[in-house]
Amino acid sequence: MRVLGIESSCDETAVACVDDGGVRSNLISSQVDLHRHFGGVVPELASRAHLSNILPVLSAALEEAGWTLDEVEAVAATAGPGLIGAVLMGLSCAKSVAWARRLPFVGVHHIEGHILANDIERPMTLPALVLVVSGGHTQTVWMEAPGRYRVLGKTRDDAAGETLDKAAKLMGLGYPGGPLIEKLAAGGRAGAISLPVGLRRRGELDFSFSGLKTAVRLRLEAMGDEVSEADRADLARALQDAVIESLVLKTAAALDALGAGRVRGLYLAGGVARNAALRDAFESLAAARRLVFTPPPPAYCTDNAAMIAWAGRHRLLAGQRDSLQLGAFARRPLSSWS
Amino acid sequence: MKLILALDSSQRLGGSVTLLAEDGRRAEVFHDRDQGYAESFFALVDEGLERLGSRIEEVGAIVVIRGPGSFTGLRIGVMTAKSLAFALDRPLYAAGSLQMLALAAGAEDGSPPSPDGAGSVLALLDAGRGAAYAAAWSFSAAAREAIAEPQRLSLDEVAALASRLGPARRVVALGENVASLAEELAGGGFEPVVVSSLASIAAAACRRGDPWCPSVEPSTLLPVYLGLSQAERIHGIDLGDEVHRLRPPRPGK
Ligand SMILES: Nc1ncnc2c1ncn2[C@@H]1O[C@H](COP(=O)(O)OP(=O)(O)OP(=O)(O)O)[C@@H](O)[C@H]1O
Ligand SMILES: [Mg+2]
Repeated sequence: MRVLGIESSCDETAVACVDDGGVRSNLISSQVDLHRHFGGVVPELASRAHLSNILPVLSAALEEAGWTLDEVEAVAATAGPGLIGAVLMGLSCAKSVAWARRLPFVGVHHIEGHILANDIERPMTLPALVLVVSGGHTQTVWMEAPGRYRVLGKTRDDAAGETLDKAAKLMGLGYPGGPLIEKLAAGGRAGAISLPVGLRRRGELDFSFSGLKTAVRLRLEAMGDEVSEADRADLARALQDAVIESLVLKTAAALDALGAGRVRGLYLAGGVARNAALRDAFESLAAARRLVFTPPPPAYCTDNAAMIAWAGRHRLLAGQRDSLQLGAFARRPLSSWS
Repeated sequence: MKLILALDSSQRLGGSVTLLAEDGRRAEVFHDRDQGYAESFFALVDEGLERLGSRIEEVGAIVVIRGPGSFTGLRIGVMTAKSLAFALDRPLYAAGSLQMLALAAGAEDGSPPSPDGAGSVLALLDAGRGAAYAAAWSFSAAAREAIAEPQRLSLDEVAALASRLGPARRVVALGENVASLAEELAGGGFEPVVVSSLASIAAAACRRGDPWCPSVEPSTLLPVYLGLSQAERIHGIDLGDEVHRLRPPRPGK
C-alpha cells in the first residue's frame, strides 16, 4: 500500500512516501533556525512556519518518490501528542488531501511512529520491550504487536532528551543539546565527576531526571566563570553516563517486572536513540538478557514522516480508518490509543 | 456544473462553508459551536454537497477568508483551502474578512447609504483583549477607497475612526465585543448592517470576479495576521518574513 505521511507535531515539517517495499522519500524542513532566536520552540511561530512549508515539502516528497497524487493510496498524519496548533497544520493538510482524493485516512500517535521506526527496515522481533527516549517522552513500553502497547514505566518529571537539552543550555552549548553533549562527552573522562541517578530503588519502574538537571546546575555554579574545556567535557560525560545509567536501570527493571519469556526483542525509539553510547549500553543489556536488539536507523530516530507513514500503513493494513472529524490532541497516553 | 467552495473559519465563532452553483443555488452550512473547525470542516462540505445534490468533482474553485481573525482559525482555513486547491487541482481565491463585511454593507452592489450615490462603511471584528480589527472605506457605484486600511485598534481608537466618517455611513460588525460597539454607533447616526456568513459573501464575490477576491498561489498564500506573534512582542524581535520563508527540505539523515 502506498501511503503519504505528514508530521508537524513540533519544529520539523516532514513528509514521506512509503510503500510495501519501504521508504520511497523522507523529507524534512527544519525550523531550528527560527526557534534558535528564542532558545526553544515557540508554538505560534512553529504553526506559522508549518503553514508555509507543508505543501512545498509535500510536492518535493512526491517528486522524489516518483509519484503523483494519483499514486497515493492512503494518507496518514500525526494527530498528537505535540504542540496542538502545529499538529493541526499537518492534520488539516492530510485530511484535505484524503477528502479531495477520496482516500482512506488515519491519524497516528507520534510515539507509535517513533516505535515503529524500528520496523521500517526489518520486521521487529515481538513481543518486545521498547525504551522511548525523545524530547518529550521517556517510557518503557511493552509491545505485543503493532497497535498493542502497554506503558510500564515513565518519567515523573523531565524527559531524557529534555534533560540533555536543558543541561546543554546551562552549559552554553546551544540547541538541541543532545548531539552537542554527545560530542563534548567523547573527550571527557568517565568517573571524573559523579552525578545522581533518580529513583534508583529496586523495582521502581518510573524515571526521574529533575535531580540530575539541578546537580548539573550546582556543578556549573561551583566551577565558577572560568571553566576549562576539560572540565566541561568531564561534566558532559558525567551527564551522559548518568542519563544512560538511569535508562538502562529502568529498562532492566521493566524486563524484570515482565518476567522471563514475555519478551523476545529489545528496542530504542526517539531522538536520544541516536546516541552511540546508549546504543552500546543496550547492545550489552540485550546480550546479557539474550534478547534480539537492532538499533534503529538514525534517520528515523528524530522526528520524521517516514515513521508516521509507516505506522499509518500498519493501521491501514489492519483495516483501521479514521473519520475526517478526527481532532488533534496535545497529550494522550500511548496505551489508550488505537 | 462548476461549484465555488468557500471556507470561513476566520473568527472564533460563526464560521461557515458555502457552496455556490453557477445557477445561483447555494448551500450555506454553519459550524457547530461545540466542535472545532478542524474537526468539522469536511462534514460541513459534505452536507453542503448533499444539499445541492453535487459531487466533489463538481467543485471548480476554492475560496478562503484569509483574515484578520483568530490565528488558529485562520491557519486551519488557509491550510485546508490551499491543500484542497492542490489536491483537486483547482484555482484558489482569497478574501479579506473586513473587505467581505464591507461588501455586505453595500460596496458589493454599489448601493451606498445615501441617495446621492456615495457613503462610507466601517467594518469591525473582534480581536480579543478589548481590541478590534477595523477598516473603513468610502464607496460609490463607481469606486471604493480606503479611509483606514485593516488594522488592530483599541475600542477607543475605533470610536475616533468612526467620528471621521461622513454623514452617509454604515457599520457592519461580527463578534460579541464589537457588536455592542456597533449598537452604540447605530445610536449615533450609523446605519447597522447584519451579516451571517463571510463564506457566502466571498463565494458571491468570487463569482463576480470582484477585485477583493483575487486568485492566489496555493503554495505561497498566508493568512493576514495583522500583528506579531506573542513571542516576538515579548522578546522585542520582529522576524518579518523570516517566519514564513520556505525552508528547503532535505532528506532525513
Ligand atoms: N546524538 C544524540 N544524543 C542524545 N540525544 C540526542 C541525540 N540526537 C538527538 N537527541 C535528542 O533527541 C531529542 C529530540 O528527539 P525527538 O525528535 O524524538 O523529540 P521530540 O519530537 O521533540 O519529542 P516527542 O517525540 O517526545 O514529542 C532532543 O532532546 C535531542 O537533544
Ligand atoms: Mg518526536
